[in-house]
Amino acid sequence: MTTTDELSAEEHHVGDATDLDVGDHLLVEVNDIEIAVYCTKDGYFALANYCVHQGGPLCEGPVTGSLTNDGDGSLCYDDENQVVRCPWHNWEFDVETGEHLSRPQYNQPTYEVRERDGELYVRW
Amino acid sequence: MSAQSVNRFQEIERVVDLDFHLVEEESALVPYLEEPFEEMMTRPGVGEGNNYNETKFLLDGIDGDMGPDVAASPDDVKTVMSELNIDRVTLNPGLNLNLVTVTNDRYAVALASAYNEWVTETMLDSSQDMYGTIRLCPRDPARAVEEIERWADADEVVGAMLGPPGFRSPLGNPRFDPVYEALEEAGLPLLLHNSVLSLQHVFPGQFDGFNTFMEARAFGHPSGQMMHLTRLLVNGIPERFPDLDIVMMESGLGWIPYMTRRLDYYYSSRREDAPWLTQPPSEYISRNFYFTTQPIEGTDDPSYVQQIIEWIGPDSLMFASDYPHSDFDFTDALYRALRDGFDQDAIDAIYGGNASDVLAY
Repeated sequence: MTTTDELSAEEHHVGDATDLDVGDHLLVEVNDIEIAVYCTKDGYFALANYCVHQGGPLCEGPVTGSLTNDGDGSLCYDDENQVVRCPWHNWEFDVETGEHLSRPQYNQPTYEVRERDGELYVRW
Repeated sequence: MSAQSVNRFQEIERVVDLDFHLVEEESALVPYLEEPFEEMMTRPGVGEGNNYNETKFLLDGIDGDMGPDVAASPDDVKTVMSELNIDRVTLNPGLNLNLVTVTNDRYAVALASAYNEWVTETMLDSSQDMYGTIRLCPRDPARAVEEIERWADADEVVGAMLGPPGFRSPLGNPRFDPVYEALEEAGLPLLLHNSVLSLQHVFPGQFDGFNTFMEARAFGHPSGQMMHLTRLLVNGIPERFPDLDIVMMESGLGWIPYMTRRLDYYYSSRREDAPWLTQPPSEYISRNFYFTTQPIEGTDDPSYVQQIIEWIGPDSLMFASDYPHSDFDFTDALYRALRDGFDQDAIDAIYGGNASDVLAY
Protein backbone atom coordinates (compact mmCIF):
# COMPACT_ATOMS: atom_id res chain seq x y z
CA MET A 1 0.00 0.00 0.00
CA THR A 2 1.51 3.29 -0.95
CA THR A 3 1.83 6.16 1.47
CA THR A 4 3.96 9.22 1.63
CA ASP A 5 4.60 9.06 5.37
CA GLU A 6 7.95 9.98 6.68
CA LEU A 7 10.45 7.16 6.44
CA SER A 8 11.47 5.35 9.54
CA ALA A 9 14.71 3.63 10.29
CA GLU A 10 12.99 0.31 9.53
CA GLU A 11 12.43 1.09 5.88
CA HIS A 12 14.65 -0.24 3.16
CA HIS A 13 14.95 1.31 -0.26
CA VAL A 14 14.29 -1.36 -2.90
CA GLY A 15 13.89 0.50 -6.18
CA ASP A 16 12.39 3.11 -8.43
CA ALA A 17 8.61 3.11 -8.73
CA THR A 18 8.80 4.03 -12.41
CA ASP A 19 10.53 0.71 -13.11
CA LEU A 20 7.40 -1.20 -12.23
CA ASP A 21 4.28 -1.21 -14.36
CA VAL A 22 1.13 -3.02 -13.31
CA GLY A 23 1.90 -6.73 -13.48
CA ASP A 24 5.64 -6.27 -12.95
CA HIS A 25 7.59 -7.28 -9.87
CA LEU A 26 11.03 -6.77 -8.44
CA LEU A 27 13.00 -9.40 -6.49
CA VAL A 28 15.18 -7.89 -3.77
CA GLU A 29 16.93 -8.91 -0.60
CA VAL A 30 16.20 -7.18 2.68
CA ASN A 31 18.05 -8.27 5.82
CA ASP A 32 19.03 -11.51 4.03
CA ILE A 33 15.38 -12.25 3.24
CA GLU A 34 14.35 -12.49 -0.40
CA ILE A 35 11.27 -10.41 -1.03
CA ALA A 36 9.36 -9.56 -4.18
CA VAL A 37 7.68 -6.19 -4.67
CA TYR A 38 4.65 -6.37 -6.93
CA CYS A 39 2.81 -3.60 -8.73
CA THR A 40 -0.94 -4.03 -9.10
CA LYS A 41 -3.72 -1.66 -10.03
CA ASP A 42 -4.07 -0.98 -6.30
CA GLY A 43 -0.45 -0.10 -5.63
CA TYR A 44 2.69 -1.86 -4.43
CA PHE A 45 2.80 -5.03 -2.34
CA ALA A 46 5.55 -7.30 -1.09
CA LEU A 47 5.73 -11.02 -0.37
CA ALA A 48 8.44 -13.30 0.96
CA ASN A 49 10.08 -15.40 -1.73
CA TYR A 50 9.71 -18.59 0.29
CA CYS A 51 6.49 -20.50 -0.26
CA VAL A 52 4.77 -21.47 2.97
CA HIS A 53 4.03 -24.87 1.38
CA GLN A 54 7.46 -26.44 1.01
CA GLY A 55 9.82 -23.51 0.73
CA GLY A 56 9.80 -23.09 -3.02
CA PRO A 57 10.83 -19.84 -4.76
CA LEU A 58 7.29 -18.47 -4.92
CA CYS A 59 8.17 -15.10 -6.37
CA GLU A 60 9.99 -16.63 -9.31
CA GLY A 61 6.60 -17.86 -10.46
CA PRO A 62 4.40 -16.04 -12.96
CA VAL A 63 1.94 -13.30 -12.05
CA THR A 64 -1.40 -14.03 -13.63
CA GLY A 65 -5.13 -13.93 -13.11
CA SER A 66 -7.07 -17.03 -12.22
CA LEU A 67 -9.93 -19.10 -13.53
CA THR A 68 -13.03 -18.89 -11.40
CA ASN A 69 -16.77 -18.81 -11.83
CA ASP A 70 -19.13 -15.85 -11.88
CA GLY A 71 -21.63 -17.29 -9.43
CA ASP A 72 -24.11 -18.11 -12.17
CA GLY A 73 -22.38 -21.25 -13.37
CA SER A 74 -20.20 -19.63 -16.01
CA LEU A 75 -16.44 -19.72 -16.03
CA CYS A 76 -14.57 -16.47 -16.05
CA TYR A 77 -11.02 -15.21 -15.70
CA ASP A 78 -10.46 -12.78 -12.91
CA ASP A 79 -7.85 -10.93 -10.85
CA GLU A 80 -5.51 -10.15 -13.71
CA ASN A 81 -2.00 -9.47 -12.38
CA GLN A 82 -3.13 -10.21 -8.86
CA VAL A 83 -2.08 -13.85 -8.48
CA VAL A 84 1.42 -15.26 -8.11
CA ARG A 85 1.86 -18.99 -8.75
CA CYS A 86 4.56 -20.95 -7.04
CA PRO A 87 6.72 -22.55 -9.75
CA TRP A 88 7.03 -25.77 -7.74
CA HIS A 89 3.42 -26.77 -7.07
CA ASN A 90 1.26 -24.00 -8.60
CA TRP A 91 0.00 -22.77 -5.23
CA GLU A 92 -1.81 -19.50 -5.98
CA PHE A 93 -1.45 -16.49 -3.67
CA ASP A 94 -3.07 -13.09 -3.86
CA VAL A 95 -0.13 -10.71 -4.22
CA GLU A 96 -1.93 -8.00 -2.24
CA THR A 97 -2.91 -10.06 0.80
CA GLY A 98 -0.61 -13.08 0.63
CA GLU A 99 -3.63 -15.33 1.05
CA HIS A 100 -3.79 -18.69 -0.74
CA LEU A 101 -6.70 -18.67 -3.19
CA SER A 102 -8.21 -22.00 -2.16
CA ARG A 103 -6.68 -22.69 1.28
CA PRO A 104 -7.05 -19.42 3.21
CA GLN A 105 -5.34 -20.89 6.25
CA TYR A 106 -2.10 -20.60 4.26
CA ASN A 107 -0.69 -17.09 4.10
CA GLN A 108 2.55 -15.82 2.66
CA PRO A 109 4.40 -13.31 4.83
CA THR A 110 3.69 -9.84 3.48
CA TYR A 111 5.55 -6.58 3.94
CA GLU A 112 4.34 -3.02 3.68
CA VAL A 113 5.63 -1.05 0.74
CA ARG A 114 5.81 2.73 0.79
CA GLU A 115 6.42 5.10 -2.06
CA ARG A 116 8.15 8.40 -1.46
CA ASP A 117 9.24 10.76 -4.18
CA GLY A 118 9.03 8.00 -6.76
CA GLU A 119 11.16 5.59 -4.77
CA LEU A 120 9.95 2.37 -3.16
CA TYR A 121 10.69 1.30 0.38
CA VAL A 122 9.86 -1.97 2.09
CA ARG A 123 8.89 -1.41 5.66
CA TRP A 124 10.50 -4.01 7.87
CA MET B 1 14.20 -49.41 19.37
CA SER B 2 16.18 -46.27 19.96
CA ALA B 3 14.33 -43.53 21.79
CA GLN B 4 16.61 -40.90 20.31
CA SER B 5 14.84 -38.15 18.44
CA VAL B 6 15.94 -36.48 15.25
CA ASN B 7 16.19 -32.78 16.01
CA ARG B 8 17.41 -31.67 12.64
CA PHE B 9 16.88 -33.03 9.16
CA GLN B 10 20.66 -33.27 8.77
CA GLU B 11 20.75 -35.93 11.48
CA ILE B 12 19.02 -38.46 9.23
CA GLU B 13 21.55 -41.17 8.52
CA ARG B 14 21.05 -41.52 4.76
CA VAL B 15 18.39 -40.10 2.48
CA VAL B 16 17.40 -42.34 -0.41
CA ASP B 17 14.93 -41.03 -2.97
CA LEU B 18 12.84 -43.81 -4.52
CA ASP B 19 11.40 -41.72 -7.31
CA PHE B 20 13.41 -39.18 -9.29
CA HIS B 21 12.17 -38.84 -12.85
CA LEU B 22 14.21 -38.50 -15.96
CA VAL B 23 13.02 -36.56 -18.99
CA GLU B 24 14.00 -38.85 -21.84
CA GLU B 25 12.89 -38.08 -25.39
CA GLU B 26 11.84 -40.79 -27.84
CA SER B 27 14.55 -39.59 -30.20
CA ALA B 28 17.22 -40.41 -27.63
CA LEU B 29 16.05 -44.03 -27.54
CA VAL B 30 16.03 -44.56 -31.31
CA PRO B 31 19.74 -45.45 -31.56
CA TYR B 32 19.14 -48.19 -28.99
CA LEU B 33 16.15 -49.73 -30.74
CA GLU B 34 16.36 -53.30 -31.91
CA GLU B 35 15.77 -54.02 -35.58
CA PRO B 36 13.66 -53.55 -37.55
CA PHE B 37 12.57 -50.53 -35.50
CA GLU B 38 15.83 -48.64 -35.58
CA GLU B 39 15.78 -48.97 -39.36
CA MET B 40 12.18 -47.79 -39.55
CA MET B 41 12.60 -44.85 -37.17
CA THR B 42 15.64 -43.49 -38.99
CA ARG B 43 14.56 -43.71 -42.58
CA PRO B 44 13.95 -40.48 -44.51
CA GLY B 45 10.60 -38.83 -43.92
CA VAL B 46 10.11 -40.25 -40.44
CA GLY B 47 10.21 -37.32 -38.08
CA GLU B 48 11.51 -37.40 -34.57
CA GLY B 49 7.86 -37.64 -33.74
CA ASN B 50 6.11 -38.83 -30.74
CA ASN B 51 4.57 -42.25 -30.71
CA TYR B 52 3.38 -41.92 -27.14
CA ASN B 53 -0.30 -40.95 -26.93
CA GLU B 54 -0.17 -39.08 -23.65
CA THR B 55 -3.30 -37.27 -22.57
CA LYS B 56 -3.02 -33.51 -22.70
CA PHE B 57 -4.94 -31.83 -19.91
CA LEU B 58 -5.51 -28.09 -19.78
CA LEU B 59 -2.56 -26.45 -18.06
CA ASP B 60 -1.39 -29.80 -16.69
CA GLY B 61 2.03 -28.52 -15.83
CA ILE B 62 3.86 -31.14 -17.85
CA ASP B 63 6.70 -30.25 -20.21
CA GLY B 64 8.04 -27.43 -18.12
CA ASP B 65 4.87 -25.45 -17.59
CA MET B 66 5.16 -26.05 -13.89
CA GLY B 67 7.39 -27.70 -11.38
CA PRO B 68 11.10 -27.27 -10.66
CA ASP B 69 13.80 -27.47 -13.32
CA VAL B 70 14.19 -30.86 -14.95
CA ALA B 71 17.38 -32.88 -14.68
CA ALA B 72 18.41 -33.86 -18.19
CA SER B 73 21.95 -35.11 -17.59
CA PRO B 74 23.87 -36.96 -14.88
CA ASP B 75 25.41 -33.65 -13.82
CA ASP B 76 21.94 -32.13 -13.50
CA VAL B 77 20.91 -35.09 -11.33
CA LYS B 78 23.93 -34.60 -9.08
CA THR B 79 23.13 -30.90 -8.74
CA VAL B 80 19.55 -31.59 -7.73
CA MET B 81 20.63 -34.34 -5.32
CA SER B 82 22.79 -31.77 -3.59
CA GLU B 83 20.03 -29.16 -3.52
CA LEU B 84 17.50 -31.63 -2.16
CA ASN B 85 19.93 -33.21 0.32
CA ILE B 86 19.52 -36.64 -1.28
CA ASP B 87 22.35 -39.10 -0.70
CA ARG B 88 21.23 -41.82 -3.08
CA VAL B 89 18.75 -41.63 -5.91
CA THR B 90 16.59 -44.07 -7.88
CA LEU B 91 16.17 -42.77 -11.41
CA ASN B 92 12.88 -43.71 -13.02
CA PRO B 93 11.38 -43.08 -16.45
CA GLY B 94 9.72 -39.83 -17.42
CA LEU B 95 8.23 -40.23 -20.88
CA ASN B 96 8.26 -44.00 -20.47
CA LEU B 97 5.84 -43.85 -17.60
CA ASN B 98 3.45 -43.61 -20.55
CA LEU B 99 4.91 -46.53 -22.48
CA VAL B 100 1.52 -48.25 -22.54
CA THR B 101 0.07 -45.44 -24.67
CA VAL B 102 2.24 -46.54 -27.60
CA THR B 103 -0.28 -48.11 -29.94
CA ASN B 104 1.97 -50.67 -31.60
CA ASP B 105 2.63 -53.44 -29.07
CA ARG B 106 5.85 -54.62 -30.64
CA TYR B 107 7.24 -51.11 -30.83
CA ALA B 108 6.31 -50.54 -27.19
CA VAL B 109 8.28 -53.63 -26.21
CA ALA B 110 11.21 -52.41 -28.27
CA LEU B 111 11.05 -48.99 -26.63
CA ALA B 112 11.19 -50.56 -23.19
CA SER B 113 14.30 -52.47 -24.12
CA ALA B 114 15.83 -49.37 -25.70
CA TYR B 115 15.06 -47.32 -22.60
CA ASN B 116 16.81 -49.87 -20.41
CA GLU B 117 19.90 -49.79 -22.55
CA TRP B 118 19.87 -46.00 -22.78
CA VAL B 119 19.40 -45.38 -19.07
CA THR B 120 22.08 -47.83 -17.96
CA GLU B 121 24.55 -46.50 -20.51
CA THR B 122 23.98 -42.76 -20.13
CA MET B 123 22.39 -41.97 -16.76
CA LEU B 124 23.04 -44.58 -14.08
CA ASP B 125 26.27 -44.63 -12.11
CA SER B 126 26.46 -46.59 -8.89
CA SER B 127 29.71 -44.87 -7.96
CA GLN B 128 27.75 -41.59 -7.83
CA ASP B 129 24.83 -43.18 -5.92
CA MET B 130 22.70 -42.82 -9.05
CA TYR B 131 20.78 -46.05 -9.37
CA GLY B 132 17.70 -46.81 -11.41
CA THR B 133 14.95 -49.13 -12.52
CA ILE B 134 14.44 -50.97 -15.77
CA ARG B 135 11.16 -50.52 -17.57
CA LEU B 136 9.09 -53.59 -18.33
CA CYS B 137 6.37 -53.61 -20.96
CA PRO B 138 3.23 -55.52 -19.95
CA ARG B 139 2.31 -56.25 -23.58
CA ASP B 140 4.73 -59.18 -23.76
CA PRO B 141 5.49 -60.93 -20.46
CA ALA B 142 8.05 -63.22 -22.12
CA ARG B 143 10.05 -60.20 -23.30
CA ALA B 144 9.72 -58.70 -19.83
CA VAL B 145 11.35 -61.85 -18.45
CA GLU B 146 14.18 -61.43 -20.96
CA GLU B 147 14.75 -57.86 -19.81
CA ILE B 148 14.85 -58.92 -16.18
CA GLU B 149 17.37 -61.66 -16.92
CA ARG B 150 19.44 -59.29 -19.05
CA TRP B 151 19.84 -56.65 -16.34
CA ALA B 152 19.67 -58.76 -13.20
CA ASP B 153 23.39 -58.53 -12.47
CA ALA B 154 23.84 -54.85 -13.31
CA ASP B 155 25.03 -53.05 -10.19
CA GLU B 156 23.17 -49.89 -10.99
CA VAL B 157 19.80 -51.57 -11.59
CA VAL B 158 17.87 -51.87 -8.34
CA GLY B 159 14.36 -52.74 -9.46
CA ALA B 160 11.95 -53.20 -12.33
CA MET B 161 9.04 -50.93 -13.07
CA LEU B 162 5.54 -51.51 -14.33
CA GLY B 163 2.58 -49.17 -14.13
CA PRO B 164 -0.99 -49.75 -13.06
CA PRO B 165 -2.50 -48.65 -16.37
CA GLY B 166 -2.39 -50.56 -19.59
CA PHE B 167 -2.45 -54.18 -18.50
CA ARG B 168 -5.62 -55.15 -20.39
CA SER B 169 -5.96 -57.76 -17.68
CA PRO B 170 -4.69 -56.55 -14.31
CA LEU B 171 -1.84 -58.06 -12.38
CA GLY B 172 -2.90 -61.33 -10.84
CA ASN B 173 -3.60 -62.82 -14.26
CA PRO B 174 -1.51 -66.00 -14.70
CA ARG B 175 0.20 -64.58 -17.81
CA PHE B 176 2.37 -62.46 -15.53
CA ASP B 177 3.52 -65.35 -13.33
CA PRO B 178 6.79 -65.78 -15.27
CA VAL B 179 7.55 -62.10 -14.58
CA TYR B 180 7.19 -62.54 -10.82
CA GLU B 181 9.30 -65.67 -10.97
CA ALA B 182 12.04 -63.91 -12.89
CA LEU B 183 12.02 -60.95 -10.50
CA GLU B 184 12.21 -63.26 -7.51
CA GLU B 185 15.09 -65.15 -9.10
CA ALA B 186 16.91 -61.92 -9.92
CA GLY B 187 16.34 -60.42 -6.47
CA LEU B 188 14.73 -57.35 -8.02
CA PRO B 189 11.67 -55.71 -6.46
CA LEU B 190 8.69 -54.80 -8.62
CA LEU B 191 7.92 -51.08 -8.56
CA LEU B 192 4.41 -50.07 -9.60
CA HIS B 193 4.20 -46.46 -10.74
CA ASN B 194 1.08 -44.99 -12.28
CA SER B 195 1.02 -42.63 -15.24
CA VAL B 196 -1.90 -40.25 -15.15
CA LEU B 197 -1.32 -39.24 -18.76
CA SER B 198 -2.02 -42.82 -19.81
CA LEU B 199 -5.28 -43.41 -18.02
CA GLN B 200 -7.66 -42.15 -20.66
CA HIS B 201 -6.27 -44.30 -23.43
CA VAL B 202 -5.71 -47.69 -21.90
CA PHE B 203 -7.08 -50.12 -19.36
CA PRO B 204 -8.84 -49.59 -17.05
CA GLY B 205 -10.54 -47.15 -19.40
CA GLN B 206 -12.98 -45.73 -16.87
CA PHE B 207 -11.11 -42.46 -17.01
CA ASP B 208 -12.50 -41.56 -20.40
CA GLY B 209 -14.51 -38.47 -19.50
CA PHE B 210 -12.17 -37.25 -16.78
CA ASN B 211 -11.72 -33.63 -17.70
CA THR B 212 -8.89 -32.33 -15.61
CA PHE B 213 -5.44 -33.10 -14.33
CA MET B 214 -6.71 -32.82 -10.78
CA GLU B 215 -9.19 -35.63 -11.42
CA ALA B 216 -6.53 -37.81 -12.97
CA ARG B 217 -4.00 -37.26 -10.21
CA ALA B 218 -6.27 -37.23 -7.17
CA PHE B 219 -8.17 -40.37 -8.14
CA GLY B 220 -6.08 -42.06 -10.79
CA HIS B 221 -3.01 -42.79 -8.73
CA PRO B 222 -4.51 -44.48 -5.66
CA SER B 223 -7.30 -46.22 -7.56
CA GLY B 224 -4.77 -47.94 -9.81
CA GLN B 225 -2.76 -49.14 -6.86
CA MET B 226 -5.87 -50.31 -5.03
CA MET B 227 -6.83 -52.34 -8.07
CA HIS B 228 -3.51 -54.10 -8.31
CA LEU B 229 -3.09 -54.59 -4.57
CA THR B 230 -6.47 -56.33 -4.55
CA ARG B 231 -5.70 -58.47 -7.57
CA LEU B 232 -2.20 -59.42 -6.43
CA LEU B 233 -3.45 -60.53 -3.03
CA VAL B 234 -6.62 -62.33 -4.04
CA ASN B 235 -4.69 -64.21 -6.73
CA GLY B 236 -2.10 -65.30 -4.20
CA ILE B 237 0.99 -63.70 -5.71
CA PRO B 238 2.81 -63.02 -2.40
CA GLU B 239 2.05 -66.57 -1.23
CA ARG B 240 3.29 -68.15 -4.47
CA PHE B 241 6.28 -65.78 -4.81
CA PRO B 242 7.17 -65.12 -1.16
CA ASP B 243 10.52 -63.49 -1.88
CA LEU B 244 9.12 -60.90 -4.28
CA ASP B 245 8.93 -57.39 -2.85
CA ILE B 246 6.40 -55.03 -4.42
CA VAL B 247 6.65 -51.24 -4.10
CA MET B 248 3.54 -49.18 -4.72
CA MET B 249 4.28 -45.60 -5.53
CA GLU B 250 2.98 -42.06 -5.63
CA SER B 251 -0.45 -42.53 -4.09
CA GLY B 252 -0.01 -40.96 -0.67
CA LEU B 253 -0.77 -42.70 2.58
CA GLY B 254 -4.37 -42.80 3.74
CA TRP B 255 -5.60 -45.48 1.36
CA ILE B 256 -3.11 -48.05 2.66
CA PRO B 257 -4.56 -48.84 6.11
CA TYR B 258 -8.03 -48.61 4.63
CA MET B 259 -7.41 -51.17 1.88
CA THR B 260 -5.46 -53.41 4.25
CA ARG B 261 -8.42 -53.63 6.60
CA ARG B 262 -10.97 -53.83 3.85
CA LEU B 263 -9.20 -56.80 2.26
CA ASP B 264 -8.98 -58.54 5.63
CA TYR B 265 -12.69 -57.90 6.13
CA TYR B 266 -13.65 -59.62 2.90
CA TYR B 267 -11.16 -62.42 3.40
CA SER B 268 -13.15 -63.31 6.50
CA SER B 269 -16.19 -64.24 4.41
CA ARG B 270 -14.74 -64.85 0.95
CA ARG B 271 -11.77 -67.07 1.70
CA GLU B 272 -12.75 -69.32 -1.20
CA ASP B 273 -12.18 -66.42 -3.60
CA ALA B 274 -8.52 -66.35 -2.51
CA PRO B 275 -7.70 -70.06 -2.10
CA TRP B 276 -3.94 -69.60 -2.43
CA LEU B 277 -3.69 -67.44 0.68
CA THR B 278 -2.81 -69.11 3.98
CA GLN B 279 -2.91 -65.91 6.00
CA PRO B 280 -5.01 -62.74 5.98
CA PRO B 281 -4.06 -60.13 3.37
CA SER B 282 -2.65 -57.82 6.03
CA GLU B 283 0.10 -60.33 6.78
CA TYR B 284 1.26 -60.31 3.18
CA ILE B 285 1.00 -56.53 2.95
CA SER B 286 3.22 -56.25 5.98
CA ARG B 287 5.74 -58.76 4.63
CA ASN B 288 5.90 -58.16 0.87
CA PHE B 289 4.53 -54.69 0.14
CA TYR B 290 6.14 -51.30 0.49
CA PHE B 291 4.79 -47.85 -0.22
CA THR B 292 6.48 -44.62 -1.18
CA THR B 293 5.37 -41.57 0.71
CA GLN B 294 4.84 -38.89 -1.93
CA PRO B 295 2.64 -36.91 -2.25
CA ILE B 296 1.94 -36.73 1.46
CA GLU B 297 -1.59 -35.59 2.03
CA GLY B 298 -2.68 -33.86 5.19
CA THR B 299 0.63 -32.33 6.26
CA ASP B 300 -1.21 -29.38 7.74
CA ASP B 301 -2.29 -31.86 10.40
CA PRO B 302 0.83 -33.75 11.53
CA SER B 303 -1.29 -35.88 13.87
CA TYR B 304 -3.06 -37.30 10.80
CA VAL B 305 0.22 -38.17 9.10
CA GLN B 306 1.64 -39.69 12.26
CA GLN B 307 -1.44 -41.82 12.90
CA ILE B 308 -1.55 -43.13 9.34
CA ILE B 309 2.13 -44.04 9.48
CA GLU B 310 1.59 -45.78 12.84
CA TRP B 311 -1.08 -47.90 11.18
CA ILE B 312 0.96 -48.65 8.09
CA GLY B 313 4.17 -49.20 10.03
CA PRO B 314 7.38 -47.22 9.45
CA ASP B 315 9.08 -50.36 8.13
CA SER B 316 6.74 -50.40 5.13
CA LEU B 317 7.37 -46.86 3.92
CA MET B 318 10.06 -45.31 1.77
CA PHE B 319 10.68 -41.65 1.02
CA ALA B 320 10.20 -40.47 -2.53
CA SER B 321 10.40 -36.96 -3.95
CA ASP B 322 8.89 -37.48 -7.44
CA TYR B 323 11.18 -34.70 -8.64
CA PRO B 324 10.53 -32.79 -10.98
CA HIS B 325 6.81 -33.37 -11.16
CA SER B 326 4.56 -30.59 -9.92
CA ASP B 327 3.32 -32.55 -6.93
CA PHE B 328 6.81 -33.47 -5.77
CA ASP B 329 7.67 -33.47 -2.07
CA PHE B 330 10.67 -31.45 -1.03
CA THR B 331 12.92 -33.69 1.01
CA ASP B 332 12.13 -32.36 4.46
CA ALA B 333 8.35 -32.08 4.04
CA LEU B 334 7.91 -35.63 5.35
CA TYR B 335 10.43 -35.08 8.14
CA ARG B 336 8.50 -32.08 9.46
CA ALA B 337 5.41 -34.26 9.83
CA LEU B 338 7.35 -37.13 11.44
CA ARG B 339 9.76 -35.53 13.85
CA ASP B 340 7.44 -35.10 16.83
CA GLY B 341 5.97 -38.57 16.54
CA PHE B 342 8.78 -40.95 15.60
CA ASP B 343 12.24 -41.70 16.88
CA GLN B 344 15.51 -41.84 14.97
CA ASP B 345 15.21 -45.51 14.04
CA ALA B 346 11.84 -45.00 12.40
CA ILE B 347 12.82 -41.82 10.57
CA ASP B 348 16.07 -43.36 9.34
CA ALA B 349 14.14 -46.42 8.15
CA ILE B 350 11.64 -44.40 6.15
CA TYR B 351 14.24 -42.09 4.68
CA GLY B 352 16.72 -44.73 3.61
CA GLY B 353 16.97 -47.84 5.75
CA ASN B 354 14.01 -49.63 4.20
CA ALA B 355 15.19 -48.77 0.69
CA SER B 356 18.58 -50.27 1.47
CA ASP B 357 16.84 -53.54 2.38
CA VAL B 358 14.32 -53.65 -0.46
CA LEU B 359 16.17 -52.35 -3.50
CA ALA B 360 18.80 -54.50 -5.12
CA TYR B 361 21.95 -52.60 -4.12
